[in-house]
Amino acid sequence: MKDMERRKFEDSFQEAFKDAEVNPSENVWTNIELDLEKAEGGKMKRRLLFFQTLAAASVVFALSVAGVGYLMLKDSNTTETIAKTGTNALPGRNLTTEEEAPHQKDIDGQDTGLAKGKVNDQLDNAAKSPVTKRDLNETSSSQQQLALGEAANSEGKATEQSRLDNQKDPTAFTPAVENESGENAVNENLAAFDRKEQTSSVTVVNKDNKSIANTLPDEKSQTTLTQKNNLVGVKPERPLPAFYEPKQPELQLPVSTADPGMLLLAKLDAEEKKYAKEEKRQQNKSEKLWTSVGFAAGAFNANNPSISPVPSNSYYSLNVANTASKQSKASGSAYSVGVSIGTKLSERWVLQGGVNYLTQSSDYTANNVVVMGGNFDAPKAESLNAFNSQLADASAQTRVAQTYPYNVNNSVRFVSVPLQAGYLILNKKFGVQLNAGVSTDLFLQNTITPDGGGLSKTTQGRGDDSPYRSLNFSGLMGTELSYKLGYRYRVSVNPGLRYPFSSVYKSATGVDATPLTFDVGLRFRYIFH
Amino acid sequence: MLSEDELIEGCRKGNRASQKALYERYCRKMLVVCLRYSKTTAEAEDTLQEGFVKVFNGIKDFRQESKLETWITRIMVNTALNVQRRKLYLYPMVDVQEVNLPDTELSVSGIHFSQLLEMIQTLPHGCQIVFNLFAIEGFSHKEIAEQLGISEGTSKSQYARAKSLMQAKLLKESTYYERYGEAKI
Repeated sequence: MKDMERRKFEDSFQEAFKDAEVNPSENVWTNIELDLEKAEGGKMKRRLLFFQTLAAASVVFALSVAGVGYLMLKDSNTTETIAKTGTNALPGRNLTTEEEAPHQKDIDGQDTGLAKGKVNDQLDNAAKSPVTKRDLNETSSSQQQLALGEAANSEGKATEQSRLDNQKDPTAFTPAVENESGENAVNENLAAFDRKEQTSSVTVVNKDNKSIANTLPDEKSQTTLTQKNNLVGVKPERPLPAFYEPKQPELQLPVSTADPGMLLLAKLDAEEKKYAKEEKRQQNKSEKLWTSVGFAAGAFNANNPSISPVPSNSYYSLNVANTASKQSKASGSAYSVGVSIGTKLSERWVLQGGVNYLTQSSDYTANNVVVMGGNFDAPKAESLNAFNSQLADASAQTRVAQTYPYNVNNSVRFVSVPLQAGYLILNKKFGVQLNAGVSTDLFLQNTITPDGGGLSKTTQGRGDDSPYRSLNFSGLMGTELSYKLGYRYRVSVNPGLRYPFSSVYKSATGVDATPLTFDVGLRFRYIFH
Repeated sequence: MLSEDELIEGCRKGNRASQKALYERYCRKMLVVCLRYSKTTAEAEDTLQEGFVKVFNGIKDFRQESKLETWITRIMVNTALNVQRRKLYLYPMVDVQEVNLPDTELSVSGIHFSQLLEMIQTLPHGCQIVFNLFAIEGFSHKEIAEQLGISEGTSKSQYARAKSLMQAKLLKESTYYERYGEAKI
């Protein structure tokens, strides 16, 4: 019974405070806002550091892609030269590379090796030109000047600072001992204040220190005064800075705790951040959908194709393998034009797709002609196209005749439908984006253009007679560095790699070639709002 | 007026307007909680400020398994206890002499909460905390002992002391009203 009554006591308290409310002062919310602003400021700093790291990483990535591409192209050129030398050593023919040179010159009308050498020399000379060096020198000298100027400035600042320091009141530079004593004095004073706070006489002490001796003759207040007098006694002759000056504690009403100046600054800062955020949101919102048109130029290399002998036809297998080796190992240039459309999936992720028209052109040296159906009047250039129809029809009478080496150009055309996901590392006026995706490549045709006088140009479309696969898939990877022009446009540079997942040639040809293409594109983007 | 879910969602996104709306909705009730654990209004407002900053920073982790008000109250009580723990370090809570509680149990119904608040604030530190936790928050002595790092016996004795002091104050108040002819408690 008694317990029940006691419980009632607690319940009645709970009931009394159930709906109790007291209004806090206005300063509380302002201080909360200030604390939140400070916390957000810290977050912003961390975020900024993250973006800086990402930007640096993307630049390193772009440079690596460019470097890998360059090295691969360089390697492919070396491979091509070796391949050319190797394929000329045919049975019944003992021509050396030196011997071939005049013939090649006769056919082509120009010495390609020499021409290449000249071009390379010119490029080297351009790279080593005095203009560049002078520019560099100027840059370095101006940097030196800047450095000197900065050094002079810093020296000047240092001198000025030291001058100002010297001009300062010597009392400002208080020795450590004095500081310590000053702090001790303050601490003691605070402790004394705490002790005094517990007695009712504190207000009297605070208000009029001089009258304490008269009004408070008790032992406690005497002690306080003695402490105070001691403090005065140990006070150095030089005046202490204002901060260390022991102050009489005053009973302050704890109404306003925040600095009004700080509050104003915090509010202004909050307003600024709010507008910046709003602007950023607007900017992000505005680039939801875009279309772009662009072109790209680059090069592809053979990427070490493997050639296996064709099992079906023994008569031509040697010639087929020989031709396959020449054609598939040839590296060359790649061009593409296209349109694309892109959309933003989230704040950082984008999806892009489109249609591109691709041309890959390569040259190789042939030393045979193919005579089909006994028609010696219209021989065909040595290529996989010529042999592929023979493979399909083993009964056809086809002969291979040796001739002087001649150049053959093979131009392959595709329609490519890429689909790429992109991650926006930086999405401001300047944008950095990493892309990766797949492309569906539809083979259109390839054209064999021999340089020999009596040989005709042949074009082979897609289908059974073509040595190329009609449909293939490639992996894409690249970087997009863009710059926003005005409200609706963005221009971008796109270095990227393309790598077919399977051989571009049909398996019946016995050639497994997956040429790696590196190109740099330029795109103009139109943004829909 | 925003619903509780909208307020929570806004605060999770860091929306300042939602934060202010949430503050406006609960600040008055929470100040009473803080006042119960403090000696002065300024001290209570400091606790309120610290508590609300914790609320806004921690609202992302609020799983909505309890009412928002209950969750905020818990944060305020914990914040107030943290502040009081610093004082308890200086003035450790010890067992106090057993007191004989008066036979007649006084009721507080009809007394304005501000008067009760004043009485609670005048209790000694330890008694004030234990009284709040036991009588108003409804914690058991075991839970109080765990939270404050004291023994269960200490919690009980502190509460008994607090209750006796409160009853004495209530008695004094009632005598005052009887003497001056105002409303009796």
